[in-house]
Amino acid sequence: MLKVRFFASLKDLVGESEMEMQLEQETSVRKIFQQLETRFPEIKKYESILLVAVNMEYADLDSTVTPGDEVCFFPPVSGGTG
Amino acid sequence: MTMSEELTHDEIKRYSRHLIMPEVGMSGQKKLKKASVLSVGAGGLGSPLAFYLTAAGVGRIGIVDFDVVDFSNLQRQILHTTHDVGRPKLDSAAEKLNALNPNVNVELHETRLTSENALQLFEKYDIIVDGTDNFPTRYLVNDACVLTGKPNVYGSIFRFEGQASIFATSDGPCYRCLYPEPPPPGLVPSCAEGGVLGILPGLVGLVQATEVIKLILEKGTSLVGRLLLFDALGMKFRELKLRKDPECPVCGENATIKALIDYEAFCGIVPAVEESPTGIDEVTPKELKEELDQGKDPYILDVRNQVEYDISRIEGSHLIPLDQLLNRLHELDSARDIVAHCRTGARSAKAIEMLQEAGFRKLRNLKGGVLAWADEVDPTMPKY
Repeated sequence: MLKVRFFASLKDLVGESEMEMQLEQETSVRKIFQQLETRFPEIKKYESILLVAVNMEYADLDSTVTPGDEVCFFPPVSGGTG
Repeated sequence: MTMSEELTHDEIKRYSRHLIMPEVGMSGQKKLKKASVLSVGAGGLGSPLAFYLTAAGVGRIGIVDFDVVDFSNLQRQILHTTHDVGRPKLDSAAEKLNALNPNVNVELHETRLTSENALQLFEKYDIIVDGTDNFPTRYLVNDACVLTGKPNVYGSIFRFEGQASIFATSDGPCYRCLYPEPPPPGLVPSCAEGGVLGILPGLVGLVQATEVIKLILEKGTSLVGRLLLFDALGMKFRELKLRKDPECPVCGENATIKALIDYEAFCGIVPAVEESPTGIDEVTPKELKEELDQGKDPYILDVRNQVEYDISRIEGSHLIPLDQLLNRLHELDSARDIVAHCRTGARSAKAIEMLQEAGFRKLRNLKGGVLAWADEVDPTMPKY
């Protein structure tokens, strides 16, 4: 299993803040993202601008994930309400 | 000069709760008095930040803002009161801060922060606080901090979520190390579009203020290299370990950006044009009202969200939120005239582009959205 968390506008897009995904063996964040894309095609636009974390450490789409890991996707947030 | 660096008897009384803590003490309070901080923005983040830094006795506080207080600011921008609506935010801010602590020198910069003035402005301050509300200015603040060597105390908010960190110190990452590329315009909603819980900028602004004080006092563990993430709905604080990107174009070893650039262009924003977007027909609220009075029956398509529809709506309009539009095309009749609208006309322009691509032809955009409808046709309609 793999835990995936979504933040800010991505959370709205996916409709939930976290989900569990089946994961049997080591893979990359990119593969995980591509799997999510088949369910939520709209997230494709975020691919190049996302901040990615694996187990709350800065990572990128090429980083490795293993079963039991937690992957977080943070879109940029602009608000400061000027 | 040495006179002003000493604390007066009044100041000693005022700051006594600081002075009796060993982490601050007389020497720390003098550091605060000698320090200077620039807040970019006097809005949601800048309000609580400026209030508390003023109360804490930071000697010189600069504020950059060019905006005027609006009713919709008051839900969170606590520097400003109902009486201030219509006044420049800086006037309102100066009045409140001077009343709170006349020992603090409040410096007002009534201007938009630009690539032309940012470096000169930042040079005059020890610490820069990012309380802005848009991506071009965030990248500008970041780059100007890297180029001038000033720490960028960062905060950002969205609905119930907030983030804070310190960027652009010599040993830590900058904002571009996290987000090298800005999002395309329109992809990530702003607070005006997405909404924000009023207390949230209060919390995040005070996290920023706390980090400013710690930087000045040189105490504690700063947020350098960490992104603090706050979720008000779950009431959870998390933190993300960051790393400096050696390839970063502005703070990396082989940085290619040595001067400020055009940040609007970098973020893909083209200058606003008064004319309607090419290929989209418009109808003014008055014209639409006349058509309705004449018995014409265009399909009035509201592409806002349900919560906005609950605030106010045009009678007889049909709600299909923009993000559901493509899945609900079957509800529309391509033979019928369609007038799309939203709050101001921007989202409905997008809706029309989507409908054009789907083969619809009889499309018009309501100019100025429901806000213009309220101004020109129905003054009883609330504006938000």
